[in-house]
Amino acid sequence: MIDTKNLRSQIEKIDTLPTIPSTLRKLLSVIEDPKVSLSDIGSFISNDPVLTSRVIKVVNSPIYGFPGRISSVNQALILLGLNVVKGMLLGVSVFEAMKKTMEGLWEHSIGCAVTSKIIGTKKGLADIEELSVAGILHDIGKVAMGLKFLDEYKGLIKKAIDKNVLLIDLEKELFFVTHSETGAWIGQRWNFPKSLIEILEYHHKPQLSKNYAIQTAVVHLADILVRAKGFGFAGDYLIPTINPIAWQRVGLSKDELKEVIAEMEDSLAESGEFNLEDD
Amino acid sequence: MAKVAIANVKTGMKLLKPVINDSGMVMLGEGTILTDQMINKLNNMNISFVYVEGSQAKTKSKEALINEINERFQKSGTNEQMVLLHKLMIEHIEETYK
Repeated sequence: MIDTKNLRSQIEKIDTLPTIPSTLRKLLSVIEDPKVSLSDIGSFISNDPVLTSRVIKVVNSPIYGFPGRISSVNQALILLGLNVVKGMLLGVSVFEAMKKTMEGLWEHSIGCAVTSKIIGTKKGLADIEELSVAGILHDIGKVAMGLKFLDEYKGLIKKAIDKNVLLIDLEKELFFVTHSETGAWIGQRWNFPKSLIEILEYHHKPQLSKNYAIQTAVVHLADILVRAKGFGFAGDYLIPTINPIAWQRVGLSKDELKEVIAEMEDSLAESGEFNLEDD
Repeated sequence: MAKVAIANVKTGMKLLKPVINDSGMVMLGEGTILTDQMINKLNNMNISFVYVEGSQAKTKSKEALINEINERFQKSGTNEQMVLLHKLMIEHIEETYK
């Protein structure tokens, strides 16, 4: 049984765990600073060749959709803007941790990013890149719980598979909170944009989102579509049920949903081999 | 578009993305129709897959794909929207295989 009183402070301190890669720790100290500028971030990335190559890889991937068009970090920063770059850096830095927590979570996350982008584009939403970032990071609470309580969390995943139940229900049983809450805690601690924190917190309860209702509904739906397709792995083999209010807020017609399913096919095929393992 | 492992590449498949070697040189251009000779060459290069025309779905049989989807949906909760999603996903596969 885990002491839930201390859970939040333990989760908030995961950046001090010895298992956290040093790049991620350094990155957090940079992005936690609310006054950080694009040029601070630019020089931070440029000083790290591994990070530089990952950033270039990601911005040219189907997640952001500038295929082969971005060749420098500065160009990426100007095109994407501060908030998106912060989220993207976090995404590429939690890559190893994701692989360690759950084989397939990285694929699930980029699948969700790509699908959020497809839906957002179809509905003509603004700030599509921020939706992509939310897609990559929506399950960061799972990474945090996995990093802090590796054995317990692996046990939950095994139980979810054996008993054919949703991982989120088992999280609630053991921790009294789910990856939605832990993700939002981390988002607050690390100064994520408000929109991102709200999406993390409510992607399983999209009806509760007030300020970013449509964006939260899009990521909720994308998460479900990616699982329905069987792309990647998010901790169990079930599909969470579509929330009817979120469904209404996104407002996809039957034909539009069918187009989304078809467009996912190509984009997921492309992102299937998209991996940040350094060559 | 389908991503196909070199072992499963067949004569007559059309490349949708160029094949590029380790030094960044384009070996086979986009739109190339693969011949036996080219496939032999690919086998000798350090390349694990190519992108060809067709659907990703076709790397598995239609029945296997439909079964997988049915199984996932049967285990999961349901409502009006889930029924629609399930139906459209099956339709998508049926149409892909026409």
